[in-house]
Amino acid sequence: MKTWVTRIVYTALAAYLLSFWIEPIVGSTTFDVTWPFYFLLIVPMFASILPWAAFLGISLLNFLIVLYAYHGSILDWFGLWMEDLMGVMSGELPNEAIFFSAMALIGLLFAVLVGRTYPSYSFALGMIVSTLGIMAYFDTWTLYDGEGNILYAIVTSLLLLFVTDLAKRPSQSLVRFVSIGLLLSVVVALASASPTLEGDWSDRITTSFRNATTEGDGSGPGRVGYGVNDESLGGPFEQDDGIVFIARGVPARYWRIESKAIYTGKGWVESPVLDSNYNRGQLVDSEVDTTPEQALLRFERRQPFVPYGGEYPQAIETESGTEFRVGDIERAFPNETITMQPSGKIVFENEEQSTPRTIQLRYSVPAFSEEQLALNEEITSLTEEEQQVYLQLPESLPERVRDLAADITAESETPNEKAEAVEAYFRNGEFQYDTENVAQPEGDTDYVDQFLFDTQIGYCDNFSTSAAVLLRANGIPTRWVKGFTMGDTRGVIQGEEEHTIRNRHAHSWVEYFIEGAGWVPLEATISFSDANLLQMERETDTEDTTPAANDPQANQDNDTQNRPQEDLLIDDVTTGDVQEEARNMPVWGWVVILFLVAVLVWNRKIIERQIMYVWWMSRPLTDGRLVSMHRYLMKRLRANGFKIEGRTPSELAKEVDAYYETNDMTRLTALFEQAVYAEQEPNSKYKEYWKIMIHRIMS
Amino acid sequence: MYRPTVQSIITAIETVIVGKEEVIAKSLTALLAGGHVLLEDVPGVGKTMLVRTFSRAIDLDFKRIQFTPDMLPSDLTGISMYNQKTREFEYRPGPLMGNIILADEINRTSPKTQSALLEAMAERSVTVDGELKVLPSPFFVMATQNPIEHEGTYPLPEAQLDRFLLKIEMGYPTFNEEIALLSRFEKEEPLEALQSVITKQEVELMQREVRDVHVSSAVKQYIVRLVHESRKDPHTYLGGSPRATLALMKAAQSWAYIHNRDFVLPDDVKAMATSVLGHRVLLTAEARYKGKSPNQLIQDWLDTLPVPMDREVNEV
Repeated sequence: MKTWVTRIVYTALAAYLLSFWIEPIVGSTTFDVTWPFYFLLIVPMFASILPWAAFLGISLLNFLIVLYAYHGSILDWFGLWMEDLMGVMSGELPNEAIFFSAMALIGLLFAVLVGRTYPSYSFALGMIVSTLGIMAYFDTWTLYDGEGNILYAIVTSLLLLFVTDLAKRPSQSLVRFVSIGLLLSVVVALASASPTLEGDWSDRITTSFRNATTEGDGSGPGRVGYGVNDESLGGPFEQDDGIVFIARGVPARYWRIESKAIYTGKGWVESPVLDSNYNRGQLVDSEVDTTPEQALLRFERRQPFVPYGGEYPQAIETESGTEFRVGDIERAFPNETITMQPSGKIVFENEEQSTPRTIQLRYSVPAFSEEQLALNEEITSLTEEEQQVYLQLPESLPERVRDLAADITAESETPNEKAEAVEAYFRNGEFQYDTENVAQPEGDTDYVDQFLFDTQIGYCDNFSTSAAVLLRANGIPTRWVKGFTMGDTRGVIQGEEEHTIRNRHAHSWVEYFIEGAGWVPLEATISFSDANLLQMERETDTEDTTPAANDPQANQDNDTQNRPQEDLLIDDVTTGDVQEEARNMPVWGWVVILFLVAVLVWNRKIIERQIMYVWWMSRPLTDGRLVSMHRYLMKRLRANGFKIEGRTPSELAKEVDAYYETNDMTRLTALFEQAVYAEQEPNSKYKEYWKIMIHRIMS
Repeated sequence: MYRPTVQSIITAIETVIVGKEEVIAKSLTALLAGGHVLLEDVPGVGKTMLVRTFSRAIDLDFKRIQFTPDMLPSDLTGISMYNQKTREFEYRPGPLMGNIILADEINRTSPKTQSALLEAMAERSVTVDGELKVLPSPFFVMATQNPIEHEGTYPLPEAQLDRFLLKIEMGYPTFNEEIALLSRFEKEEPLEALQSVITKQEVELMQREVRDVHVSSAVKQYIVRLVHESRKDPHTYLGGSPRATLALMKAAQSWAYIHNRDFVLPDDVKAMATSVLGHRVLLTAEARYKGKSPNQLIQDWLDTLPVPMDREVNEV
C-alpha cells in the first residue's frame, strides 16, 4: 500500500473510533443534535495530515463554520461563552458554550496526537482502550446503548492496529493479511454467535428503513410492534428486537398506551368520545389503594405515544423541563401541547405528534383488594352511552360465541369470577400460543369465532379480543388494551431497575369494569401471567397469581419448538433474573469477546506461526523453505532471549541445548549446516527437529 | 573430533609439549593449507621446542635458522663455491633447503635477510647465482619472533607479515601445565623418544585434500564481510587485504579438514579469524592509545556480524 494511502486509512480509522465518543457523551448533555461534534472531532483529524499552518487554519475555519451553522452568530456565541465561563468560575456546571469549545479542543488534541505520532502503536492502543472504555462506561451507567456500536468499534480497532502494523513494517507478507482476515472473521463469528446480536443487526436495519407499525396487515407476515391500525387482526408476524424505549426506576411492569372499544368482527376501532371520569384521568375507583411511581423513559427514536405503567399519568416532564399535569388536559407550552385522546392515548401535539426522546412520568399504581374485586353491583359510574359502547358486539357475531360465553361462566356470579373463568377457559389445553401459523379471517368469518372454534392457535390479539368478546357477551363492560409487556430486565443500575422494551414486547390485553373498583386488567393470553399486570392484595389466592407456573399446559407450551420469544417473558421475570441475563447481557458478553480479541491480538504471532507451521509442514523441504524455517526459529529464539548476532548456528545450538537440556537443536543444526554450508539436498528430518524445537521454545 | 591422522599427530606432539593443543592444531592447519606460521611470544615459552617436536612427529626434514643481525641472504639460500678438484662451481645448499624451517627470532636480522626468507616462503624457490633452485615440498616455515618492543629488533614490514598465513601466540602454560612440564622433563628428554607418526607423502596428500574442502557461498560471504569489516572499522588504519581474504578461506578449509569435515562452517572462519587477521590489521594511533588490540577488535566484529544463512549474496 502506498504510504499516503496507509496514512489516510489510519487517520480515518482513528477518526471513526473517535466518532463513537460523540453519541454517549453528547447524549448525556442537553444537546439534542450531534452533527456539530462530528465536524469538530473529525475534520481536524484529517487536516492533521497537512503541514502545521494548514492544519491550524483548517481546524479554526472548521470551528467557526460549525459554530456559525449551529448557532447562527459567532459573536453572540462568544457572549454566551463568557457568561458560561463566569458561571463556571462561580461554581456552576458548564453550559453548552463551554461544552462546545471543550469538544473542539478534544478534537484538536486528538488531531495533534494522530498527526504527530503517526504511526504509533501507543496511540492506536490508547485510542482503542479509551473508546471502548467510554462506550462500556456509558453503556453500563447511562441510557446509552452501545451494543452494536461496540462491534463496529472492535472491528475498527483491529483494522487500526493492522494499519499501524502495515505503516510500521511495510512488508507485504501474505501471512499478515491472512492473520488479520482470520482475526476479523473470528470476531464477527463470535459476535454472530452472541444471542443478542442478530437481533441488533436486524434492528438497525428495520428501524432505519422500515416503520415497524404493521401487525398482520394482510400482505404477508407483519412485523411485531405497536401499531395504530387494528381493524384487521390476524395473520403471522415476525419478531423484531428493535428497542422502543428503556424504562428506568420502576419494577417490571406492563406499559399501557391506549384502549379500543368497538369490535368489528375483524378487529378493533377507536371508541367515540366518551366523557365519564373513568375515561378521562382515571382508570380505577377512588376507593382503590394506589402507590405513586415515577419512571424515566428514554426512547430509541421518537414515537407517537406515551406509555404509562399504571393509572393515567399525573405528570409528564420533558427534557426541556416543561411539565404536563392531568387535570388541565390541554395545556399549551412554548413548543408543545399534550393531549389525552378518548382512548387514553397521550399525544404530544407537535408536528409529528412525537414524544420527546426522554420523559419523566409520574403515575400511581393501583392495587385492588379482594373485596373490591368481589363486588357485584349495578353499574352507575358509566353512562348509558358508555355502557353501550363497552358492551358492543357486532351483529354478525355467530350465535355459538354467545353460547360458549354463557357456558364458560355458567357457574360464576361476579364479574371477577366470570373473568377468571374466561381466563381459565383458554388454559384448558386446547389453545396454543404461536405467532407464525396464525390465520387471518377471510370473507364473513369472524375473527373471534375462527379462533375459538376453528384454529385455537394464536397470539395475544386472538386471546385478548376473544376474552373481550366473551366478557361482553356476559354483560361485563370490557375494552381492549394495547401496550407493551415489561420487556427485558437490564439489571439494577445505580440502585434503579432498568428494562428494555422492544418491538417484540408489543402486547394486548383486556380491561373489564367492576363497579366500585374500576377498570380491572385481565391477561387472557396463555402462558402470560397477570401477576404483574394486576396488583391485588390476594394473599390467600396464590393459585391465580401464578397461573403460568402452575399450569402444566402453559409449561408445556413453553417447551415447544416454535415458541416465540414473547412467550418467554413472564417466565424470565418470575423465575429469576439469571435467564434474563443470559439473553440480554451485552456488556458482559462484550467484555468476554473483547478479552478474546485482545488475547488474539497479543498472540497474533502464534496465529502467524500456526499458519506458517501448517504451510511449512505440508510442503516438501526445499533450500529456501529450510532457510525460512530456520530464520523463523532464530526469530523465536531471539524473542526468548538468546543472542543470535555473531553466533554461528552450532554455537547457538550448544547454548540452546544447554538451556533446554536436549540435543535436538544440535541435531537440527547439523542438518541445517549440511544443507546450507555443505550445500547438499536438505534432509526432511529437519522438519521433525524443527517442530520439536518450535514447540519447546513456544511452550 | 579431529581427523584420525591429525589426532595421532597431535597426540604424538603432546607427549612432548604440555597443553597447547590449540597451537598445535593451528600449526597443523597452516602446514596443511600450505601456509607459514609466525609464532610470537616472549622467549622461553617453548616456541622452538614446538617446532622441533612438530618436525619430528611428521618425519620431515627439519632445519633451524637462528637469525642474527649480521646474517646475509646467502646464509639462508646457500652459495655456489668453487671446487678446486672438479674446477666447477658447486652449490652448497643453505638451511632453507628443508621441509620444516624454524626461523628463530626472525626480527633480529636485517630487513634484507628477512625479505630473502619471505620471498622464498612465497615463491617456494630461491635463485642462487642466477640459477633457480626449487625448495623441497612440503615447505613449511615456522618463524618465531619476540614481541617487537624488545631491544635490538627489526620489526617485520606489513607486506611481509601478510605472507604468514597465521600468527599464533603461545602464551604461558597454566599452573598445572607447568607442574606437568617439570615432571616430564625431570629425568629424560621426551623429544628423543618421539617417533614420527606420518610420512611426507601423507602430508602432501592431505594438503591436496584440503583444497577439496567445500566452501559454500554463505561462508564466502561471511569471510568477505569479516574482512570488509576490518577495512571499515574506524579503529583500523589498515584492514585485511584480498590476500587476507584468501588466507582466511584457506585457513578455514584446512581447519575444517583437520576437524574431519569436507565443508567449511562459519565456526571454522571464526576459529581462524584472529590468527589470520590479527597480524594483518593495523590500528590507528588513537585506537592503540585507547588500549585496543587487533584481537579484541576482531572479536568485536565476530560478536556483532550476523552469520549468513543462505546462498543468496547480500551485500551489507
